Amino acid sequence: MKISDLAFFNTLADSIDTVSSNLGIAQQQLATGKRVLQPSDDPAAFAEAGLLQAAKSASNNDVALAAQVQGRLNATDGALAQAANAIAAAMASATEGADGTVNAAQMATIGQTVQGQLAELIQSANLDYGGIYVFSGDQTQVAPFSSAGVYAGDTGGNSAVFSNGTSLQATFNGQAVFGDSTTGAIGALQSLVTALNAGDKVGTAAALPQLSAALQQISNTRASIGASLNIATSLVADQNANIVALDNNLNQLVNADLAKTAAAIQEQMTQLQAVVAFASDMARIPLVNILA
Amino acid sequence: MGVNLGSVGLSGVIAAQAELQATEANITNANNPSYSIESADLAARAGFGGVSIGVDVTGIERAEAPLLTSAINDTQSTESFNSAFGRITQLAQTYLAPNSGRDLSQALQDLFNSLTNLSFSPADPNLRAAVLSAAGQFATMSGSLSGHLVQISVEELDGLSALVQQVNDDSKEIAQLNVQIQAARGSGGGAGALLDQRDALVADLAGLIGARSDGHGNVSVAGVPLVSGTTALPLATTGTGSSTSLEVALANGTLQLPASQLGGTIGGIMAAANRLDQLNTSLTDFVDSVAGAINTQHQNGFGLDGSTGNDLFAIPVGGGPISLNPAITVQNLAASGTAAGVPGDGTNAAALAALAGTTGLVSSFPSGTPAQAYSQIVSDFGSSVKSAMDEEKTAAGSLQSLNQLKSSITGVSLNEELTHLVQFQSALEAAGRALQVANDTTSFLIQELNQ
Repeated sequence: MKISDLAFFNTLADSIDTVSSNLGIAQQQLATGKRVLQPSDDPAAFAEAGLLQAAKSASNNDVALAAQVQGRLNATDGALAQAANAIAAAMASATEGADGTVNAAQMATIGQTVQGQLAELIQSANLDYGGIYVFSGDQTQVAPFSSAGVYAGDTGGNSAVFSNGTSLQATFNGQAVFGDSTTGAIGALQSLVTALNAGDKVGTAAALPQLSAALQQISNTRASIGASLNIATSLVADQNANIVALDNNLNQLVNADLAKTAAAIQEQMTQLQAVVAFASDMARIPLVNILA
Repeated sequence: MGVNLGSVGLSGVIAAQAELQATEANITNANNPSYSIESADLAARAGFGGVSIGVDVTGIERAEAPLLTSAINDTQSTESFNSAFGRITQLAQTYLAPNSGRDLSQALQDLFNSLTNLSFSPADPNLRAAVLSAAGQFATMSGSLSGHLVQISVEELDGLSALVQQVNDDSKEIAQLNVQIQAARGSGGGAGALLDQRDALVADLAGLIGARSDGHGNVSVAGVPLVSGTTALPLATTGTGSSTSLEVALANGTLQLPASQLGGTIGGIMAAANRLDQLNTSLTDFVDSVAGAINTQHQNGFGLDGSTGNDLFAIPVGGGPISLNPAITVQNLAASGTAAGVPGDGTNAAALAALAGTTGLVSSFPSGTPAQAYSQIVSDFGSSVKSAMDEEKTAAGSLQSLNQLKSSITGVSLNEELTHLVQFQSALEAAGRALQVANDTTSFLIQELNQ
């Protein structure tokens, strides 16, 4: 079959173009480290990578949010621990005040101590974490308790909801935890103060079971928060593992195999040199050179 | 039997000259891609009793490969179509999937992330501002993407008029060449150079619009004539933007060319504009659906000021980009699920964030989440682009093979022509020598007779 000169050199030029084009693609992969940069590079892989990126973004956000939730819950638990200490101290005061050897004046002195313990309890209940009153229910911008123990919050309670559906309570109904001026821990401490100031030994003794019940309530709340903290810790671990897995999947989907790419570049370079050398040699062969 | 020795030799000289002329034409056109090699057709001149008394040049023959030419034109049409389609859609792709890696899907996920964070601390002004910022970015990015797609499409379609002018110029030239070819053939000529010019113009039209020729100078596209004999029928664009179309002016009216049946660069441009239109429609449906679902949920919630029933996004009726509702502020962003729950209740923010995992928000993707719906849109478009790139590559490879085949018939091999040059030069010298001998013989005879 005759090969015309034009066809011959066009084929050579096309070969050089093709090899150069392949070289360009390989070089881009080497420079970016990516095999898939545009949807057309691998439509299915690109689409899957998009989903993985969204999932990774959600997981990263969950990890950051979990840290914030843990911070608030740790502070809440700390406040509850202080409240429990105040109640325990009040129980010791009540035991002392109810003792038959203590006179009215001494009971009044103990009453002042208990007043201080009540103030500590209310201070703990009014925990403000980052501008949020944790024990106000949904009324997070209002201090839950007055100095007299009147509750100003509501019965609500908000939860942090993570992308995997996990829900962790982050604000609480303070009245349910601490009672108010007539109920629960605050009510019991108020009653104790009144009884001690009046020298009422029966009233003083009656405060003990109330305080014990209040302490149990605090303990129950702490247990619940502890469980939430454990869930948050697990969530962080799970999401971090998820992020690693997502990254691995992403790398496999879109990253270039650098060793393979470097080898491909070497091969293309050799091919290009061979084609150019062949073109150069062929230019010396035509009959016109021989006839000349 | 008397033979004119001079005329025998002279016929050889004339024949060798014709062969040399054809060879020289071939050599000088070696790099002319539309040239078909020519050769002198010779026939022995028959004398008394059938004896050869010389050689006649019966014509200049032009090598032809009509089937290959037609196949090459069709393949060129395919290559040009996919080249144009691929170029335009690859440009659109750079907006759909920016190098920064931050695309519309990521902007939407950022919005859902900000709502998740807000559900934890719904009264936090910074977190509220972050939601408004993320919502604004999603709206801005979607509008910008749509705008770019429309702009690419409009600019490419506006550029059609220049290509249509090229088509009309080629058609006119073909019609004129048809006149010249008729005249040349009528006077006994081969019209090789004219046929070469016409073939080149037909090939150009194939690459421009996917036109086809019947081999006799009549050219049509999608069954509609562009050149009929010696008459060129003008092509024109009508409409603007996405309603651009092409029509041919016939003797008694106009005929529209169906865009789906066009090939070449023009066909590729119109197909790409149509594909971008489809992409834009899909993206608009996606954005409007997601924004609509977010609005519906947002309406159920309560802001810090107790207000309810507000949209987060403004979705224009009848099309157009969405925007952040200008009436929405940090105060009335509806994070709470109940009026009584303000400000600490973040259940509505949580419900808004949960839309990320809700299927069926986008009506055209009933079983997919918003991220999955967007992924499918991007994947489908990427497949269109890849398909065009692959088909262009395949067509280019086929073109190479077909052109090689055709050139084996119609192309110039300098080695072959240089061999012919030597051959025909020798023939010319030999014929010239024979003519010299004939003249010398005749002179001798005349001299002898005169003595």
